[in-house]
Amino acid sequence: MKKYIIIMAAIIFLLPAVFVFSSKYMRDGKNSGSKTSPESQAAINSTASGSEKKSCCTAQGKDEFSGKSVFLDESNWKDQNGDVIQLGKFKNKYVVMAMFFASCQSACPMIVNDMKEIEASISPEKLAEYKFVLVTIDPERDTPGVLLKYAKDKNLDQQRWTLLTGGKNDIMELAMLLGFKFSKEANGGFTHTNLITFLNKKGEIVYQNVGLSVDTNAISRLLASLN
Amino acid sequence: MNSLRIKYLALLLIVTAGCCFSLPSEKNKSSKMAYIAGGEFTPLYKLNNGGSNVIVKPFYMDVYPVTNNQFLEFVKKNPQWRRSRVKQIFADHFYLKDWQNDTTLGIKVDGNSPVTFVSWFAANAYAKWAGKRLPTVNEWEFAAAAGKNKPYAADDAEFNKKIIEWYAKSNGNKLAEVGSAGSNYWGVYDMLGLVWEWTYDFNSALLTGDSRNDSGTESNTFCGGGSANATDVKNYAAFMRYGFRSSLKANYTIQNLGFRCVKDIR
Repeated sequence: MKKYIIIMAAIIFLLPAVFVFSSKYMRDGKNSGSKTSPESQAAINSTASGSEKKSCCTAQGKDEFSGKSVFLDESNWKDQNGDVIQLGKFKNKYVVMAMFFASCQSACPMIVNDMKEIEASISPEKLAEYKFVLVTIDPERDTPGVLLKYAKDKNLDQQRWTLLTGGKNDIMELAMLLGFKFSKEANGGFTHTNLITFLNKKGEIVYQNVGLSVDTNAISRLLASLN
Repeated sequence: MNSLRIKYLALLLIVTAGCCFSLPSEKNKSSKMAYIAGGEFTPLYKLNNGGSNVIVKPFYMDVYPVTNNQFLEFVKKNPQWRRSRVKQIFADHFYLKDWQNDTTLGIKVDGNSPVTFVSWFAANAYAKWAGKRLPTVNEWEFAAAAGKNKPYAADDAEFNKKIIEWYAKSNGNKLAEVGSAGSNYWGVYDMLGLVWEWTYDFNSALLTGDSRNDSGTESNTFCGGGSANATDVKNYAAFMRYGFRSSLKANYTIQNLGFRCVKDIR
């Protein structure tokens, strides 16, 4: 009889854990495919979302950046080589950044050309302090492989140029951080604003060029001030 | 005696199991959601879509806007979203301005009123935490176009007049409780008449189909700038909403701007 009591007692102690685990497993599995429990996730990084994926806005532990830094974005991005990076990787560099999509025929090639001209206008000894970053708004088509081909086709120096793709929500959050507007069209393309953003070494926005005509005077003044 | 003991243990087991089952539902404090059947929809500006109507897929929508009480629970569990800790790039300095402090609502706000002074980032983070998402502009407009008794009333003069009257009215000192502005055909409350609401892609407010023409892209959403391209020039209320959205930045927090969430149907 004692044996039965011990078994029953063990079941009583174990069942709650099983139920808690299974109910959370089911809920998370349904929501995001993640097996991480929201509570344990909360304990780790204070996001109680059902997803274990980091989003841009979990800014804890990033106290090294000011409240205005785009580097507070903690999303995981994939570069043209398939390596996973966060924007904080660019700290201590000036960043010239734009959002684009590789199959864009009209505006994006002009933006990339403008960025190349900006690159060409920086003195060789200062160039090592700069990074040029293109972030796609078309993650379904712009895989790392497509981005790598784009970088080669456009003769982008991959020492300095990073092309990024990421999750749709991460792309939306970055667009919101930069004030970039875009909308998917029925034909699969995008309507979007043309925006080149300059970040200082702390990731703070110091200048944005809106539209396709680049204000070369303003940018050379800016570059001079950064140097 | 032994059988009694076993019965007692079995009872204890059932009670324990019952407690555990109730845990997820307590955690999932989601507000009620209504089924929105979806359908074909003519957005106010449809050039982005090659001139055609958009199809809104069926989805679930929160019956009420998210309340101060609900948002309080979120910030308690997500300290990085407390007023004193939030980063400026994610929410400006008016964030949750009327709350007494980080985790106390105080006397200026009602717990059952819609939370306002929240940024898009905060709303988006809340939605993710709740296992939901923010509605797209098209989803929101589709749900809001319903009248009391029909799914599409945006062409109804009386319907539009009521909205404009609300837009023209100044807010009192305190927002009314959720549910006070009435429900529509879909069973959702307060779509029009209580607070403005964030949408996931409010930054999609662009008009021209060709981004080489930036001037058109930026001017479209204001009544004067882009009215000729709108599909229903009499829908002043929608003009106002599109204009308002285009003036927003994602870290703005505004007195009468709240949000509600939606969920996909799986």
